[in-house]
Amino acid sequence: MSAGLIIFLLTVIYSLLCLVLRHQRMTSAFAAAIGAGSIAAFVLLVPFDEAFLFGDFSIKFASEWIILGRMFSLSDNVRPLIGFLYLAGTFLLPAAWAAKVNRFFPSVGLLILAIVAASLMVDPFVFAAVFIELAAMGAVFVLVTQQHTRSTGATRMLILYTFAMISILFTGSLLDVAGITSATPVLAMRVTFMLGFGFAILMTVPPFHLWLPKSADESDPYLLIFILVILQSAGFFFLLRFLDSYLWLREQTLIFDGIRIAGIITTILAVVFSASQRDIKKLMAYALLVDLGVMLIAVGSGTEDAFRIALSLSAVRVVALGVLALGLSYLCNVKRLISQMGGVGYKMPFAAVAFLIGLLSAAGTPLTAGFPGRWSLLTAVLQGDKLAAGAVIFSMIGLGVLVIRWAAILFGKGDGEELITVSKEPRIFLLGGIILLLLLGLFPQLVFPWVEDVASGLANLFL
Amino acid sequence: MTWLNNYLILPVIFIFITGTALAIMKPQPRSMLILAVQYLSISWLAATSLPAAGVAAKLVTGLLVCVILYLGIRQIGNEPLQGDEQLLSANLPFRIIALLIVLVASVSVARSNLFAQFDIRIEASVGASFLIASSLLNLGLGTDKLRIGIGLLTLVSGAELIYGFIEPALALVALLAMVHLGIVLVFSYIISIQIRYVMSENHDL
Repeated sequence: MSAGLIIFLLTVIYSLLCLVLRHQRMTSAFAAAIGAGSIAAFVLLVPFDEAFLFGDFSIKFASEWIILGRMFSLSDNVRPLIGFLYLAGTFLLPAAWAAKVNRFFPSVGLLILAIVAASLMVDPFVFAAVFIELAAMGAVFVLVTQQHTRSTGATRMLILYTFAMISILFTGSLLDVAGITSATPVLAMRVTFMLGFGFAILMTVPPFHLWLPKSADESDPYLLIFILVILQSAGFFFLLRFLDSYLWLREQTLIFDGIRIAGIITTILAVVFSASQRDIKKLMAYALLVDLGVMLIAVGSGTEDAFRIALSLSAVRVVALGVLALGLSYLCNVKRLISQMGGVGYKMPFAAVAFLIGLLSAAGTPLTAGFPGRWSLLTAVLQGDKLAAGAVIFSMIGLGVLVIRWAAILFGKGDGEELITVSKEPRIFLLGGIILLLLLGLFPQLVFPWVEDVASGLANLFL
Repeated sequence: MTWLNNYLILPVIFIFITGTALAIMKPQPRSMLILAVQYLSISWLAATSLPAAGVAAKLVTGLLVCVILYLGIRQIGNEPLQGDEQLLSANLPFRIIALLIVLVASVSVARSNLFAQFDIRIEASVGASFLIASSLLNLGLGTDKLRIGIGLLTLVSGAELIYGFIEPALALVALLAMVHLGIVLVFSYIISIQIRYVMSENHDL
């Protein structure tokens, strides 16, 4: 039996189970988390293409699965990436119950994970663009619900992802059919432009971020974070695989310069925009962009160490943004605008602290999960690119000041209302997330094995 | 079926007419008939690059898209859901002038050497360029979700027409058919959510 088919079957079974259990929020969310966790364990731990004993039975899973003449391969270079996505799902899906999001989310969330996993498995990998587009369609079903009926942000996202799909499909074909090398400069420039356009959309680089604050305004923050973490990770992994596959691309300094400049612009703009926000949900959207900008600076540095830093940043951001969004999800139930948030921290201390620590991690403050990656990046780029180093420092200081500002508001003078009781289980989630963030800040080496697994799979990029 | 290739000017004309109608008219359930004719014309043009099975799959998908969208939006009747509020500059004369410019631009783009590497037939190139340009017009000027949905479907159709010459694989036809069906399901869902919301608001009043 092929591993791809197993993932497909497990996804369908768990997704249907979550659908049936949708009226029992906690059971449904935990079923989804168990489903994602079991698939992650299957992908990361089970040997493929060799027989092994399971009790009295000898089992062999094939890594390749062929449908309509196309192959879905669970090769060693994509296994850590797919495993990461499902682990992210395992971390984010159970808290859906605590955040009291739409009942269909666990079921649809699992399907989205499977589609993104398919985007990593499909061969030729250029077809991944189509699967990411399908995942974006699934995201619309999560973002627009009976509780959040406005759909401008989701529609904008779908339009942009469609442009990205078309752009990347054509680029892949130009690379394969037209045989682009450094000896065909006009064609090379056209491909570079189209590729940059497609990936700028997938990575939500400004000005293609316009759907993000709108969606933050219209949708539940926790759902938006889930969608963004998964889709941006898919886009990021796709970019790494593109760079790994085409020697011509790796030799273009223009590409890496472009990524680094995009990262610097994204970081600076996002810090400035987040400082000017009066709506706490939009603040989250821009904080997320800051994080992305720093990741792009790392990729744009073009060195193996910087790629490793970008990968570790992409791993810890799942925890940081999850904690931030869960805290925010509770805070938003009370008020949203800066003028109304005074003293809300006293009413919901756990949620306020989770939000602030998540934001601190996005800022890269010492002792939080975001710090080691940023510190390593600073030491890596400080000598070579002062502007990039300046942008990273600006993001750390800018977001740090914002945390102090929002802490002063949340724990400032309020309207004197009493504490809003948050039940025991959500408090465990919030506290667990905070502890995990601090643990990753103290022991950043916890993500190193995964980073090395990914690096060994992308053999051309990590020589 | 090769005799169809002798009359390729016909689907191009149909694409011009349907594209113009979809951009000018207010989107409503009966627009699906026009969209169906557009899909038929696209499939005709696609026959120059794809095998018969691929063309059939494309045609069936297109007709299925029209049926799903019709079933999804028939509740709104012949009135647009949100009045399709356009900017002041995007009234009928503006849209007609914009379409004329789009027509000229798409013929010029098709005759240029932009697609020279791919050996694309001129009729398909003109049709695809017009589809992409008119879809951008719909996406740029429309606020109605139905208009945006139709614009997005047209955009994918146009790009697919050119891509068929580059990668005529059945697997890709199937994948892009899933994209068409996904888009139509998403917009049917969004419109139905909006209808329910409006109905519950009216009920509360």
